[in-house]
Amino acid sequence: MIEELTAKDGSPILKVDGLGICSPQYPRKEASDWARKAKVGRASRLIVLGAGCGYHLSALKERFPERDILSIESNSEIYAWVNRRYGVNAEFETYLFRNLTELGNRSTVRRFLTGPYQLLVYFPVTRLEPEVYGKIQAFLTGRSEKGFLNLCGLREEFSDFSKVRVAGAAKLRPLSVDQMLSMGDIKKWESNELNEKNWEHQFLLKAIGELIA
Amino acid sequence: MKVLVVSLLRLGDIVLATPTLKALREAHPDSQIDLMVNEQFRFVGDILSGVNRIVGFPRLDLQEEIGDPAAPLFQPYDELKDLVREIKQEEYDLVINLTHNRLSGYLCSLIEAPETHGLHFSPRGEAIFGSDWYHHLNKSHNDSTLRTFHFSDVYKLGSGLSTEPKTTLVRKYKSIKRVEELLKGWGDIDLVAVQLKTSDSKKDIPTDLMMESLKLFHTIHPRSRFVVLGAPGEEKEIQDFSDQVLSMGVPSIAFACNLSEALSLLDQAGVLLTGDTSIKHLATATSCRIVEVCLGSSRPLETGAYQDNAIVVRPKTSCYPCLHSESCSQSEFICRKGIEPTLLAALMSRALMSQFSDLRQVAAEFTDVEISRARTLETGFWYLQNVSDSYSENTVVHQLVAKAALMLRLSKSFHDHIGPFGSCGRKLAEDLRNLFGSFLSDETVLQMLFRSVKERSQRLDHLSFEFSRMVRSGCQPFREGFGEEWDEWVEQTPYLDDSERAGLIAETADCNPMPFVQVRKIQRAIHDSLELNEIESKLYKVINSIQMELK
Repeated sequence: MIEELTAKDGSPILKVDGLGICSPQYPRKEASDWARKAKVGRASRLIVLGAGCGYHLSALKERFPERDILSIESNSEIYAWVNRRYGVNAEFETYLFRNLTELGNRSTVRRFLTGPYQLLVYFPVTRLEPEVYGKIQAFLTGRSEKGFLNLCGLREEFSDFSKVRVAGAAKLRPLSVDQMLSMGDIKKWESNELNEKNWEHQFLLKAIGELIA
Repeated sequence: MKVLVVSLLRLGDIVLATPTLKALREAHPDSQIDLMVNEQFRFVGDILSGVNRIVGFPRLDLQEEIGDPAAPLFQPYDELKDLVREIKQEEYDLVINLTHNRLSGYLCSLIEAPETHGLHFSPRGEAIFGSDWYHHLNKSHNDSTLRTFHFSDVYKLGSGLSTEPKTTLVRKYKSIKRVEELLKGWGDIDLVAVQLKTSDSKKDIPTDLMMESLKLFHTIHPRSRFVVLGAPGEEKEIQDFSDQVLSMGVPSIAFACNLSEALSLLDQAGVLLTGDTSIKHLATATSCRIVEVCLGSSRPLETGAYQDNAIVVRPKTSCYPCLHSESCSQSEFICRKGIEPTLLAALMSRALMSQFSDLRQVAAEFTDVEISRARTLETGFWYLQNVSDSYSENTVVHQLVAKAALMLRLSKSFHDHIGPFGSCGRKLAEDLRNLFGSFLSDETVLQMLFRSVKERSQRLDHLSFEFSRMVRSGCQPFREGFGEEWDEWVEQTPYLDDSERAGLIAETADCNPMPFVQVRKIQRAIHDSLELNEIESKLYKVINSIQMELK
């Protein structure tokens, strides 16, 4: 159950089951600090776990105006509050998480996961439901079986791989980059027919492999 | 035309590439020339005026993402793919890969420019070099002197650029205030720059050796003042060193600086004492004389100070040079022994006074090390001339002619019947005259070397004939069939490197019948050696006739 309060600086803030999800004094400053320290690299799309009170999302957008931002929130009350507060013209999108399958099928999420993206975690919110957010994080980063297959399916060069693995019975533990690199060696890419189409993908994987060496 | 030059190694390697950039700019004055470097070295653009744009390769970011278990699994892949896509949109006409490792090879392949010089791969993963020069670079050369060219020469010649040897670094900088402030009030002095650290502790000149050398030098040149150079972040180390030098009564100051500041300071220095560092490569663009101490994994034949009259000191220990990727194999750095303060002080003094003809005397006194003088030859390559007396005219002539022949062959210039030999021979003759101060003192040297080349050709012809006969008969191992002549044949193919020779010996020892691929390899090796012999003999003829003309 959420409770709306006012911070020392006059900003509206929330408590969830008695726990604050942002600073009770200077939430905007806290959000700015968080955004300033966020490691986003070159990714043009940023996915943030936890919508919170929205200040961190605003601050992130202010810092990176050219990047697309999507937040994923598991609490329906927080989700509704943020949407009411920021409205349809918000500079970021918010998605209410229900289950991983729906998450993976959502067009916005799929768009974000295709191409370079960065995943950021807004700790005050995610600590409320660590298990749920842990699963979401593993899914979105491709570090769980389901997430890995989902990401493969979103990339044309790896889409056959996802079907092959789904059809097979083998268990995957795609927890490391080595797993991804091993995809460069799968037999179907060694055939003459596929080499002409897939050498670029192989070379990208091999280049990544050289960075590890 | 749009050109991308790829240099994805360390700072010193990037600076080493700048003569090539200069030559490229001169050859294509209206072209767009971009340089790809690791992102952390983007600042190198501050000292380059012939480069239109620096393209940063986010190596550190990608490696961090790879190692971060919380990062999206495909993040490095996606970012690399994006980067390649951006580069491809530039539609470069030519990519020149000066990095020569697999990572750069894959990247250059992915860019798919119409023309690529340097390592890249076919879609089937076969290595392509785009030039015989880069193919030659790919081989390891244990023999070294005959077949190793300075990387700057390989880069230029590999792209068919001017072999004009006296090219300088491309740079831009204005007068640097910090340097002016540093030197203010010093008046008329002999300014000596000292580079304290290298990128690898194995290559470092020991600090006590350095200190004693500076002290001795100062007694010879009382007007000398020392500036101890270091990169930002090394302030404490260089300050500590400088303070210790000061405590010995030797005027010294520490100066942690960026590349532009270092360049500005070196422009005013008389001498630089250094190990194998990027500062050394910077100094080649200035009038500052260089004394380079090569220790550990330093390989001056490939990456030495690319400047006329740079002085290079090398140990004579069997473990030198060691591998960069491995730690020292000895219980202590024995390559440092034999390098004494009196030696370094003497060399710095000769460098400051431009007394290079005296180096032979210094070499006679310090026989535990090899002392060489760098020469940028009219022939078109950089050469490290060993100044000890044990290096006879015979040896030097042989080395230069062999290298010139290899250069002509790699540049495919030998197919022109008159021009290259005439002009190359003339340049060689001029170089020999400059190296020895006059023409060869012993007229028979050329004739003797020419004769040995002819004899070698005759033996190779014979071996080629015998080899073909053996292959046609095909019923016994090659080596057995050759008998005693086998070792002779291997000896007569000097242009195989050691690994190729060993590989051929291993392959042919028990082959029966010999696979076609190996037959072709041996045939090619014989053919290459014959071709090189032919080029060498022509060069000897030209040099000899010039010598006769001018007598």
